[in-house]
Amino acid sequence: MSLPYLTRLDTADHVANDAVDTLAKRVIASNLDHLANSHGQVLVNWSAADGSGIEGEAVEWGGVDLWRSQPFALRVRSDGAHFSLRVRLRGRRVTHDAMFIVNVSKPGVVSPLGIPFSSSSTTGAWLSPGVGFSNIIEGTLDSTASMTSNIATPITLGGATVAFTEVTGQISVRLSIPNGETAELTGLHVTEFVGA
Amino acid sequence: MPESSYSRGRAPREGILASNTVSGSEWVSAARLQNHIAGRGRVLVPAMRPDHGTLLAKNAYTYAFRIVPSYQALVRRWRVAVDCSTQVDVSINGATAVTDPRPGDESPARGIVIDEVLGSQTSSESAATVQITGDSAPTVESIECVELPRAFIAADSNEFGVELSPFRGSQPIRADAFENIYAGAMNEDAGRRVLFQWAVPYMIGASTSTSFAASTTSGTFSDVFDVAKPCLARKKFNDGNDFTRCAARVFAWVSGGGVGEVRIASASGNSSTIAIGDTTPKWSAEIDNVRVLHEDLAEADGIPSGGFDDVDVQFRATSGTIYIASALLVE
Repeated sequence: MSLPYLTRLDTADHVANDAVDTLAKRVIASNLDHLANSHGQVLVNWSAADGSGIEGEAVEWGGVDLWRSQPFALRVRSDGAHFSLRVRLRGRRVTHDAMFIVNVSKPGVVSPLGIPFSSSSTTGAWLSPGVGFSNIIEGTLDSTASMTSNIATPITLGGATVAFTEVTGQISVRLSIPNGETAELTGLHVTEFVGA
Repeated sequence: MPESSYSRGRAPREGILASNTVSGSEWVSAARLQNHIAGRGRVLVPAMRPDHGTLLAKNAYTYAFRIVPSYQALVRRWRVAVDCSTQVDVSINGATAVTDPRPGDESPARGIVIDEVLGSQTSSESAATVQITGDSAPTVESIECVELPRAFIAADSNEFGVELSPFRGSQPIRADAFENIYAGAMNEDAGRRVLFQWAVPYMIGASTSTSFAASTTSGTFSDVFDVAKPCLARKKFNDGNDFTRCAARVFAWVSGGGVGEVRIASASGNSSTIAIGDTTPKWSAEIDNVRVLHEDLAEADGIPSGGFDDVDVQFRATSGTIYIASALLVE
Protein backbone atom coordinates (compact mmCIF):
# COMPACT_ATOMS: atom_id res chain seq x y z
CA MET A 1 0.00 0.00 0.00
CA SER A 2 1.15 3.49 -0.74
CA LEU A 3 0.93 6.21 1.88
CA PRO A 4 -2.07 8.54 1.29
CA TYR A 5 0.19 11.58 0.96
CA LEU A 6 3.48 12.68 -0.54
CA THR A 7 6.76 12.24 1.29
CA ARG A 8 9.37 14.89 0.57
CA LEU A 9 12.47 13.78 -1.29
CA ASP A 10 15.43 16.08 -1.53
CA THR A 11 16.24 15.69 -5.19
CA ALA A 12 19.52 17.48 -4.54
CA ASP A 13 20.56 14.34 -2.67
CA HIS A 14 20.42 12.50 -5.95
CA VAL A 15 23.67 13.34 -7.63
CA ALA A 16 25.54 11.37 -10.19
CA ASN A 17 26.99 8.13 -8.89
CA ASP A 18 25.09 8.11 -5.59
CA ALA A 19 23.58 4.77 -4.81
CA VAL A 20 19.76 4.64 -4.76
CA ASP A 21 18.85 2.82 -1.57
CA THR A 22 15.75 0.82 -0.87
CA LEU A 23 14.31 3.54 1.35
CA ALA A 24 14.45 6.02 -1.52
CA LYS A 25 12.79 3.43 -3.77
CA ARG A 26 9.96 2.93 -1.27
CA VAL A 27 9.36 6.67 -1.06
CA ILE A 28 9.43 7.04 -4.85
CA ALA A 29 6.97 4.17 -5.30
CA SER A 30 4.64 5.54 -2.62
CA ASN A 31 4.73 9.07 -4.02
CA LEU A 32 4.02 7.95 -7.57
CA ASP A 33 1.16 5.78 -6.36
CA HIS A 34 -0.30 8.69 -4.38
CA LEU A 35 0.05 11.06 -7.33
CA ALA A 36 -1.69 8.55 -9.58
CA ASN A 37 -4.45 8.03 -6.97
CA SER A 38 -5.08 11.70 -6.34
CA HIS A 39 -4.75 13.26 -9.79
CA GLY A 40 -8.48 13.09 -10.54
CA GLN A 41 -9.71 16.33 -12.06
CA VAL A 42 -12.71 18.56 -11.49
CA LEU A 43 -14.85 17.93 -14.58
CA VAL A 44 -17.88 20.09 -13.88
CA ASN A 45 -18.43 22.99 -11.47
CA TRP A 46 -21.22 25.48 -11.95
CA SER A 47 -24.06 26.83 -9.86
CA ALA A 48 -26.74 29.46 -10.25
CA ALA A 49 -29.49 31.19 -8.32
CA ASP A 50 -33.05 29.90 -8.53
CA GLY A 51 -34.49 31.10 -11.83
CA SER A 52 -31.07 31.26 -13.52
CA GLY A 53 -30.54 27.52 -13.99
CA ILE A 54 -31.85 25.11 -16.61
CA GLU A 55 -35.58 24.68 -16.46
CA GLY A 56 -36.84 21.55 -18.16
CA GLU A 57 -40.31 20.48 -19.14
CA ALA A 58 -40.96 16.86 -19.89
CA VAL A 59 -42.58 16.33 -23.27
CA GLU A 60 -42.25 12.59 -23.44
CA TRP A 61 -42.49 9.64 -21.09
CA GLY A 62 -39.40 9.24 -18.95
CA GLY A 63 -38.50 12.90 -18.77
CA VAL A 64 -36.08 15.12 -20.59
CA ASP A 65 -32.33 15.55 -21.02
CA LEU A 66 -31.27 18.77 -19.33
CA TRP A 67 -27.52 19.17 -19.65
CA ARG A 68 -24.52 17.36 -21.11
CA SER A 69 -20.74 17.86 -20.87
CA GLN A 70 -18.10 17.22 -23.45
CA PRO A 71 -16.42 13.80 -23.44
CA PHE A 72 -13.68 13.88 -20.80
CA ALA A 73 -10.66 11.55 -20.86
CA LEU A 74 -11.20 9.75 -17.56
CA ARG A 75 -8.40 8.57 -15.31
CA VAL A 76 -8.06 4.81 -14.87
CA ARG A 77 -7.26 2.88 -11.69
CA SER A 78 -4.75 0.07 -11.41
CA ASP A 79 -7.60 -2.48 -11.48
CA GLY A 80 -8.54 -1.31 -14.97
CA ALA A 81 -11.75 0.54 -14.07
CA HIS A 82 -12.07 4.27 -14.63
CA PHE A 83 -11.99 6.59 -11.63
CA SER A 84 -15.30 6.95 -9.83
CA LEU A 85 -17.10 10.26 -10.14
CA ARG A 86 -18.13 12.21 -7.06
CA VAL A 87 -21.32 14.16 -7.78
CA ARG A 88 -23.08 17.06 -6.10
CA LEU A 89 -26.29 18.37 -7.64
CA ARG A 90 -28.45 21.40 -6.90
CA GLY A 91 -32.04 21.76 -8.07
CA ARG A 92 -35.67 22.44 -7.22
CA ARG A 93 -39.21 21.67 -8.26
CA VAL A 94 -41.05 24.33 -10.24
CA THR A 95 -44.46 22.80 -10.92
CA HIS A 96 -43.93 19.25 -9.68
CA ASP A 97 -41.62 17.13 -7.48
CA ALA A 98 -38.59 16.28 -9.55
CA MET A 99 -35.94 13.61 -9.86
CA PHE A 100 -32.62 14.52 -11.49
CA ILE A 101 -30.47 11.62 -12.67
CA VAL A 102 -26.71 12.08 -13.20
CA ASN A 103 -24.90 9.64 -15.43
CA VAL A 104 -21.57 9.07 -17.13
CA SER A 105 -21.62 7.22 -20.42
CA LYS A 106 -20.08 6.78 -23.82
CA PRO A 107 -20.34 10.07 -25.76
CA GLY A 108 -23.70 10.44 -27.48
CA VAL A 109 -25.39 7.79 -25.39
CA VAL A 110 -27.62 8.85 -22.50
CA SER A 111 -28.51 6.16 -20.05
CA PRO A 112 -31.57 6.45 -17.78
CA LEU A 113 -29.46 4.86 -15.03
CA GLY A 114 -27.32 6.86 -12.62
CA ILE A 115 -27.50 8.64 -9.28
CA PRO A 116 -30.98 10.05 -8.56
CA PHE A 117 -31.41 13.32 -6.67
CA SER A 118 -34.97 14.29 -5.72
CA SER A 119 -36.49 17.62 -4.75
CA SER A 120 -39.95 18.49 -3.48
CA SER A 121 -39.11 22.08 -2.61
CA THR A 122 -39.46 25.17 -4.77
CA THR A 123 -36.33 26.55 -3.08
CA GLY A 124 -33.09 25.38 -4.69
CA ALA A 125 -30.65 23.38 -2.56
CA TRP A 126 -27.76 20.94 -2.90
CA LEU A 127 -29.64 17.64 -2.86
CA SER A 128 -28.90 14.32 -1.21
CA PRO A 129 -28.72 11.22 -3.38
CA GLY A 130 -31.71 8.89 -3.31
CA VAL A 131 -32.08 6.16 -0.70
CA GLY A 132 -29.51 3.43 -1.32
CA PHE A 133 -27.27 5.68 -3.39
CA SER A 134 -24.12 7.58 -2.49
CA ASN A 135 -22.56 10.61 -4.18
CA ILE A 136 -20.35 8.23 -6.17
CA ILE A 137 -20.81 6.87 -9.70
CA GLU A 138 -18.63 3.77 -9.47
CA GLY A 139 -16.17 3.00 -12.21
CA THR A 140 -16.58 -0.61 -13.29
CA LEU A 141 -14.77 -2.76 -15.83
CA ASP A 142 -17.96 -2.93 -17.92
CA SER A 143 -18.53 0.82 -17.97
CA THR A 144 -14.85 1.36 -18.70
CA ALA A 145 -14.94 -1.04 -21.62
CA SER A 146 -18.02 0.67 -23.05
CA MET A 147 -16.27 4.05 -22.99
CA THR A 148 -12.91 2.95 -24.40
CA SER A 149 -12.09 4.28 -27.84
CA ASN A 150 -9.29 5.79 -29.88
CA ILE A 151 -8.55 9.48 -30.03
CA ALA A 152 -5.97 11.31 -32.12
CA THR A 153 -3.19 13.09 -30.26
CA PRO A 154 0.07 14.58 -31.54
CA ILE A 155 3.31 12.82 -30.72
CA THR A 156 5.37 15.99 -30.47
CA LEU A 157 4.79 19.72 -30.73
CA GLY A 158 3.37 20.37 -34.19
CA GLY A 159 4.07 16.77 -35.12
CA ALA A 160 2.04 13.97 -36.59
CA THR A 161 -0.88 12.54 -34.67
CA VAL A 162 -1.28 8.99 -33.52
CA ALA A 163 -4.35 6.99 -32.56
CA PHE A 164 -4.35 6.57 -28.82
CA THR A 165 -6.59 4.52 -26.56
CA GLU A 166 -8.55 6.52 -24.00
CA VAL A 167 -11.59 6.11 -21.77
CA THR A 168 -13.89 8.99 -22.64
CA GLY A 169 -17.03 9.67 -20.65
CA GLN A 170 -19.73 12.27 -21.02
CA ILE A 171 -21.60 13.60 -17.98
CA SER A 172 -25.31 14.09 -18.45
CA VAL A 173 -28.26 15.14 -16.32
CA ARG A 174 -31.74 13.87 -17.07
CA LEU A 175 -34.93 15.09 -15.46
CA SER A 176 -37.54 12.50 -14.61
CA ILE A 177 -40.91 14.19 -14.22
CA PRO A 178 -44.46 13.73 -15.57
CA ASN A 179 -45.32 15.16 -18.96
CA GLY A 180 -45.98 18.88 -18.98
CA GLU A 181 -44.37 19.49 -15.57
CA THR A 182 -41.17 21.45 -14.94
CA ALA A 183 -38.22 21.56 -12.57
CA GLU A 184 -34.93 23.45 -12.53
CA LEU A 185 -31.30 22.31 -12.38
CA THR A 186 -29.27 25.01 -10.60
CA GLY A 187 -25.88 23.45 -10.02
CA LEU A 188 -23.61 20.51 -10.75
CA HIS A 189 -20.21 19.53 -9.41
CA VAL A 190 -18.43 16.40 -10.68
CA THR A 191 -14.91 15.33 -9.71
CA GLU A 192 -12.92 12.22 -10.50
CA PHE A 193 -12.14 10.18 -7.40
CA VAL A 194 -10.05 7.03 -7.20
CA GLY A 195 -12.31 5.39 -4.61
CA ALA A 196 -11.44 3.96 -1.24
CA MET B 1 10.29 8.32 -26.69
CA PRO B 2 8.61 6.67 -23.67
CA GLU B 3 4.99 5.64 -24.09
CA SER B 4 2.29 7.02 -21.77
CA SER B 5 -0.48 4.47 -21.50
CA TYR B 6 -4.03 5.50 -20.60
CA SER B 7 -4.18 2.60 -18.15
CA ARG B 8 -2.05 2.86 -15.08
CA GLY B 9 0.14 0.28 -13.47
CA ARG B 10 1.34 0.13 -9.90
CA ALA B 11 4.63 0.84 -8.22
CA PRO B 12 4.38 -1.52 -5.25
CA ARG B 13 6.31 -0.77 -2.08
CA GLU B 14 5.77 -4.26 -0.73
CA GLY B 15 8.82 -6.47 -1.02
CA ILE B 16 11.21 -3.55 -1.21
CA LEU B 17 13.29 -4.27 1.86
CA ALA B 18 16.66 -3.10 3.04
CA SER B 19 17.87 -6.69 3.02
CA ASN B 20 17.10 -7.09 -0.70
CA THR B 21 18.23 -5.34 -3.82
CA VAL B 22 15.64 -3.50 -5.93
CA SER B 23 15.23 -5.33 -9.19
CA GLY B 24 15.18 -3.73 -12.61
CA SER B 25 11.54 -4.75 -13.09
CA GLU B 26 10.50 -2.81 -10.00
CA TRP B 27 12.12 0.30 -11.43
CA VAL B 28 10.33 -0.35 -14.73
CA SER B 29 7.00 -0.35 -12.84
CA ALA B 30 7.83 3.03 -11.34
CA ALA B 31 8.94 4.37 -14.71
CA ARG B 32 5.72 3.26 -16.42
CA LEU B 33 3.65 4.87 -13.68
CA GLN B 34 5.57 8.13 -14.00
CA ASN B 35 5.01 8.14 -17.78
CA HIS B 36 1.31 7.48 -17.22
CA ILE B 37 0.97 10.39 -14.77
CA ALA B 38 2.90 12.81 -16.98
CA GLY B 39 0.71 12.14 -20.01
CA ARG B 40 -2.78 12.57 -18.60
CA GLY B 41 -3.56 16.21 -19.31
CA ARG B 42 -5.36 18.69 -17.09
CA VAL B 43 -8.92 19.99 -17.09
CA LEU B 44 -8.23 23.71 -17.55
CA VAL B 45 -11.83 24.91 -17.48
CA PRO B 46 -14.18 22.55 -15.66
CA ALA B 47 -17.54 22.60 -17.44
CA MET B 48 -19.04 25.95 -16.55
CA ARG B 49 -22.49 27.32 -17.36
CA PRO B 50 -22.63 31.13 -17.24
CA ASP B 51 -25.57 32.19 -15.07
CA HIS B 52 -26.69 35.20 -17.11
CA GLY B 53 -29.47 33.65 -19.17
CA THR B 54 -30.18 34.27 -22.85
CA LEU B 55 -28.04 36.82 -24.72
CA LEU B 56 -29.01 39.21 -27.49
CA ALA B 57 -28.74 38.25 -31.13
CA LYS B 58 -25.90 39.49 -33.35
CA ASN B 59 -23.73 40.75 -30.50
CA ALA B 60 -20.23 39.36 -29.90
CA TYR B 61 -19.86 38.48 -26.19
CA THR B 62 -16.33 37.94 -24.85
CA TYR B 63 -15.50 35.91 -21.74
CA ALA B 64 -12.11 35.88 -19.98
CA PHE B 65 -10.49 32.69 -18.70
CA ARG B 66 -7.18 31.99 -17.00
CA ILE B 67 -5.12 29.06 -18.28
CA VAL B 68 -2.94 27.16 -15.78
CA PRO B 69 -1.36 24.60 -18.11
CA SER B 70 0.80 21.55 -17.68
CA TYR B 71 4.06 21.68 -19.59
CA GLN B 72 3.34 18.40 -21.36
CA ALA B 73 0.22 19.67 -23.15
CA LEU B 74 0.34 20.07 -26.94
CA VAL B 75 -3.36 20.64 -27.70
CA ARG B 76 -6.12 22.33 -25.72
CA ARG B 77 -9.61 21.20 -26.65
CA TRP B 78 -12.34 23.78 -26.11
CA ARG B 79 -16.02 22.99 -26.28
CA VAL B 80 -18.68 25.65 -26.25
CA ALA B 81 -22.30 24.47 -26.13
CA VAL B 82 -24.89 27.06 -27.16
CA ASP B 83 -28.67 26.82 -27.62
CA CYS B 84 -29.47 28.81 -30.74
CA SER B 85 -31.93 28.24 -33.55
CA THR B 86 -29.63 29.83 -36.12
CA GLN B 87 -25.90 30.25 -36.72
CA VAL B 88 -23.42 30.51 -33.85
CA ASP B 89 -19.80 31.68 -34.17
CA VAL B 90 -17.17 30.90 -31.55
CA SER B 91 -13.66 32.32 -31.48
CA ILE B 92 -10.87 31.34 -29.10
CA ASN B 93 -8.21 33.95 -28.31
CA GLY B 94 -9.29 36.08 -31.27
CA ALA B 95 -8.63 33.38 -33.85
CA THR B 96 -10.86 32.87 -36.87
CA ALA B 97 -14.31 31.92 -35.63
CA VAL B 98 -15.66 28.41 -35.95
CA THR B 99 -19.26 28.32 -37.13
CA ASP B 100 -22.09 25.96 -36.38
CA PRO B 101 -24.84 26.81 -38.88
CA ARG B 102 -27.65 25.48 -36.73
CA PRO B 103 -26.83 24.08 -33.27
CA GLY B 104 -30.53 23.93 -32.35
CA ASP B 105 -32.44 25.59 -29.57
CA GLU B 106 -33.16 22.64 -27.31
CA SER B 107 -31.19 21.46 -24.28
CA PRO B 108 -28.80 19.79 -24.06
CA ALA B 109 -26.99 21.97 -26.53
CA ARG B 110 -24.70 20.57 -29.21
CA GLY B 111 -21.12 21.55 -28.57
CA ILE B 112 -18.78 23.38 -30.89
CA VAL B 113 -15.36 21.74 -30.48
CA ILE B 114 -12.21 23.73 -31.21
CA ASP B 115 -8.70 22.30 -30.90
CA GLU B 116 -6.15 24.94 -29.99
CA VAL B 117 -2.87 23.50 -31.28
CA LEU B 118 -0.08 25.06 -29.25
CA GLY B 119 2.97 26.62 -30.87
CA SER B 120 5.15 26.15 -27.83
CA GLN B 121 5.09 24.35 -24.53
CA THR B 122 4.91 26.13 -21.20
CA SER B 123 3.71 25.73 -17.64
CA SER B 124 3.30 29.50 -17.28
CA GLU B 125 -0.17 30.91 -16.69
CA SER B 126 -1.80 32.94 -19.43
CA ALA B 127 -5.04 34.72 -20.26
CA ALA B 128 -7.56 33.32 -22.75
CA THR B 129 -10.78 34.61 -24.27
CA VAL B 130 -13.88 32.97 -25.71
CA GLN B 131 -16.10 35.05 -27.97
CA ILE B 132 -19.64 33.90 -28.78
CA THR B 133 -22.00 35.40 -31.37
CA GLY B 134 -25.46 34.07 -32.23
CA ASP B 135 -27.49 35.13 -35.25
CA SER B 136 -30.52 34.69 -33.02
CA ALA B 137 -30.63 34.96 -29.23
CA PRO B 138 -28.15 32.37 -27.86
CA THR B 139 -28.08 30.68 -24.45
CA VAL B 140 -24.65 29.43 -23.41
CA GLU B 141 -25.05 26.01 -21.82
CA SER B 142 -21.41 25.17 -21.16
CA ILE B 143 -17.82 26.28 -21.73
CA GLU B 144 -15.06 23.71 -21.15
CA CYS B 145 -11.38 23.28 -21.92
CA VAL B 146 -9.15 20.23 -21.46
CA GLU B 147 -5.63 19.27 -22.42
CA LEU B 148 -5.53 16.28 -24.76
CA PRO B 149 -3.67 13.32 -23.23
CA ARG B 150 -0.24 12.44 -24.64
CA ALA B 151 0.64 9.10 -26.18
CA PHE B 152 4.38 9.64 -25.73
CA ILE B 153 6.35 11.73 -23.25
CA ALA B 154 9.82 13.11 -23.90
CA ALA B 155 12.51 11.81 -21.56
CA ASP B 156 13.81 15.24 -20.67
CA SER B 157 13.84 17.56 -17.67
CA ASN B 158 10.65 19.34 -18.75
CA GLU B 159 8.25 16.50 -19.55
CA PHE B 160 9.67 14.02 -17.03
CA GLY B 161 9.31 10.97 -19.29
CA VAL B 162 11.37 7.98 -18.22
CA GLU B 163 13.08 5.58 -20.65
CA LEU B 164 12.56 1.94 -19.67
CA SER B 165 15.62 0.54 -21.42
CA PRO B 166 18.19 1.46 -18.72
CA PHE B 167 16.41 -0.82 -16.24
CA ARG B 168 17.40 -4.24 -17.59
CA GLY B 169 17.69 -7.23 -15.31
CA SER B 170 21.20 -8.23 -14.26
CA GLN B 171 22.63 -5.03 -15.64
CA PRO B 172 24.02 -2.03 -13.80
CA ILE B 173 21.75 1.04 -13.74
CA ARG B 174 23.31 4.43 -14.35
CA ALA B 175 22.49 7.25 -11.95
CA ASP B 176 21.02 9.44 -14.71
CA ALA B 177 18.36 6.80 -15.40
CA PHE B 178 16.73 7.73 -12.08
CA GLU B 179 16.64 11.48 -12.55
CA ASN B 180 13.12 11.84 -13.96
CA ILE B 181 11.69 9.24 -11.60
CA TYR B 182 13.04 11.31 -8.71
CA ALA B 183 11.70 14.51 -10.23
CA GLY B 184 8.34 12.96 -11.10
CA ALA B 185 7.87 11.55 -7.61
CA MET B 186 8.08 15.09 -6.20
CA ASN B 187 6.18 16.84 -8.97
CA GLU B 188 3.17 18.40 -7.23
CA ASP B 189 2.17 19.95 -10.55
CA ALA B 190 1.13 16.51 -11.84
CA GLY B 191 -2.59 16.20 -11.24
CA ARG B 192 -2.95 19.81 -10.14
CA ARG B 193 -6.65 20.69 -10.02
CA VAL B 194 -8.45 23.70 -11.35
CA LEU B 195 -11.20 23.85 -8.74
CA PHE B 196 -13.43 26.25 -10.66
CA GLN B 197 -13.53 28.92 -13.32
CA TRP B 198 -16.42 31.37 -13.46
CA ALA B 199 -16.96 33.91 -16.22
CA VAL B 200 -19.56 36.28 -17.63
CA PRO B 201 -19.04 38.60 -20.62
CA TYR B 202 -16.80 41.58 -19.96
CA MET B 203 -16.96 42.88 -23.50
CA ILE B 204 -19.77 43.26 -26.04
CA GLY B 205 -18.46 43.90 -29.52
CA ALA B 206 -15.32 45.97 -29.07
CA SER B 207 -16.46 47.77 -25.93
CA THR B 208 -16.05 46.95 -22.27
CA SER B 209 -19.41 46.12 -20.73
CA THR B 210 -20.58 46.18 -17.13
CA SER B 211 -23.92 44.54 -18.02
CA PHE B 212 -23.01 41.09 -16.69
CA ALA B 213 -20.14 41.59 -14.25
CA ALA B 214 -20.74 41.39 -10.53
CA SER B 215 -20.44 44.89 -9.10
CA THR B 216 -20.65 46.77 -5.84
CA THR B 217 -20.23 50.26 -4.46
CA SER B 218 -20.52 49.05 -0.88
CA GLY B 219 -17.65 49.29 1.56
CA THR B 220 -18.73 46.01 3.16
CA PHE B 221 -17.55 42.67 1.75
CA SER B 222 -20.26 40.72 -0.08
CA ASP B 223 -20.36 37.49 -2.11
CA VAL B 224 -19.79 37.56 -5.87
CA PHE B 225 -21.59 34.26 -6.52
CA ASP B 226 -25.30 33.69 -5.92
CA VAL B 227 -24.39 30.13 -4.92
CA ALA B 228 -20.90 29.27 -3.62
CA LYS B 229 -18.81 26.77 -5.61
CA PRO B 230 -18.23 23.37 -3.99
CA CYS B 231 -14.54 22.49 -3.83
CA LEU B 232 -12.27 19.74 -2.49
CA ALA B 233 -8.53 19.91 -3.14
CA ARG B 234 -6.05 17.05 -3.23
CA LYS B 235 -4.32 15.99 -0.05
CA LYS B 236 -0.64 16.47 -0.79
CA PHE B 237 1.57 16.28 2.30
CA ASN B 238 0.91 14.81 5.73
CA ASP B 239 1.24 18.21 7.40
CA GLY B 240 -1.56 17.85 9.96
CA ASN B 241 -3.83 20.29 8.13
CA ASP B 242 -7.29 19.49 6.80
CA PHE B 243 -6.77 21.94 3.93
CA THR B 244 -4.52 22.47 0.92
CA ARG B 245 -3.20 25.91 0.08
CA CYS B 246 -4.63 27.11 -3.25
CA ALA B 247 -4.43 30.27 -5.34
CA ALA B 248 -7.06 32.52 -6.91
CA ARG B 249 -7.28 35.36 -9.40
CA VAL B 250 -10.13 37.57 -10.54
CA PHE B 251 -10.68 39.48 -13.77
CA ALA B 252 -11.68 42.87 -12.41
CA TRP B 253 -11.68 46.63 -12.79
CA VAL B 254 -12.96 49.77 -11.11
CA SER B 255 -14.70 52.95 -12.23
CA GLY B 256 -15.37 56.36 -10.76
CA GLY B 257 -11.80 56.77 -9.60
CA GLY B 258 -12.43 53.95 -7.20
CA VAL B 259 -10.42 51.27 -5.48
CA GLY B 260 -11.74 47.81 -4.70
CA GLU B 261 -10.68 44.86 -2.61
CA VAL B 262 -11.13 41.13 -3.19
CA ARG B 263 -10.70 38.08 -0.99
CA ILE B 264 -11.71 34.41 -1.05
CA ALA B 265 -13.98 32.93 1.61
CA SER B 266 -13.73 29.23 2.40
CA ALA B 267 -14.48 26.92 5.32
CA SER B 268 -11.06 27.69 6.74
CA GLY B 269 -11.76 31.44 6.82
CA ASN B 270 -10.97 34.38 4.60
CA SER B 271 -7.85 34.74 2.50
CA SER B 272 -5.71 37.82 2.50
CA THR B 273 -7.08 40.75 0.52
CA ILE B 274 -5.79 42.22 -2.73
CA ALA B 275 -6.51 45.68 -4.08
CA ILE B 276 -8.05 46.34 -7.50
CA GLY B 277 -7.27 49.71 -9.05
CA ASP B 278 -7.22 49.15 -12.81
CA THR B 279 -9.81 51.05 -14.79
CA THR B 280 -9.82 48.51 -17.62
CA PRO B 281 -10.57 44.79 -17.21
CA LYS B 282 -7.46 42.90 -16.16
CA TRP B 283 -6.44 39.72 -14.36
CA SER B 284 -5.54 40.52 -10.78
CA ALA B 285 -2.45 39.61 -8.83
CA GLU B 286 -2.55 36.14 -7.34
CA ILE B 287 -4.41 35.69 -4.06
CA ASP B 288 -2.26 33.02 -2.47
CA ASN B 289 -2.69 30.86 0.59
CA VAL B 290 -6.40 30.22 -0.03
CA ARG B 291 -7.09 27.31 2.31
CA VAL B 292 -9.46 24.76 0.77
CA LEU B 293 -10.53 21.53 2.51
CA HIS B 294 -8.86 18.50 0.96
CA GLU B 295 -10.15 15.01 0.19
CA ASP B 296 -10.01 12.20 2.69
CA LEU B 297 -8.85 9.19 0.70
CA ALA B 298 -9.92 6.87 3.53
CA GLU B 299 -13.58 7.76 2.95
CA ALA B 300 -15.58 5.85 0.35
CA ASP B 301 -16.55 9.09 -1.38
CA GLY B 302 -13.46 11.09 -0.43
CA ILE B 303 -15.58 13.71 1.34
CA PRO B 304 -13.92 14.76 4.61
CA SER B 305 -15.79 15.12 7.89
CA GLY B 306 -16.11 18.85 7.20
CA GLY B 307 -18.01 18.15 3.98
CA PHE B 308 -17.52 20.09 0.75
CA ASP B 309 -15.79 23.42 1.03
CA ASP B 310 -18.23 25.96 -0.42
CA VAL B 311 -15.96 28.71 -1.71
CA ASP B 312 -16.99 32.23 -2.69
CA VAL B 313 -15.25 35.32 -3.97
CA GLN B 314 -15.95 38.41 -1.88
CA PHE B 315 -15.45 42.03 -2.89
CA ARG B 316 -15.99 45.58 -1.69
CA ALA B 317 -15.33 49.11 -2.94
CA THR B 318 -13.43 51.46 -0.74
CA SER B 319 -14.44 54.12 -3.27
CA GLY B 320 -16.14 54.13 -6.67
CA THR B 321 -17.42 50.83 -8.16
CA ILE B 322 -15.64 47.48 -8.51
CA TYR B 323 -16.55 44.96 -11.22
CA ILE B 324 -15.62 41.25 -11.46
CA ALA B 325 -16.30 39.30 -14.67
CA SER B 326 -14.21 36.13 -14.12
CA ALA B 327 -12.63 34.16 -11.30
CA LEU B 328 -10.31 31.18 -11.00
CA LEU B 329 -9.36 28.92 -8.09
CA VAL B 330 -6.53 26.43 -8.58
CA GLU B 331 -4.29 24.32 -6.36
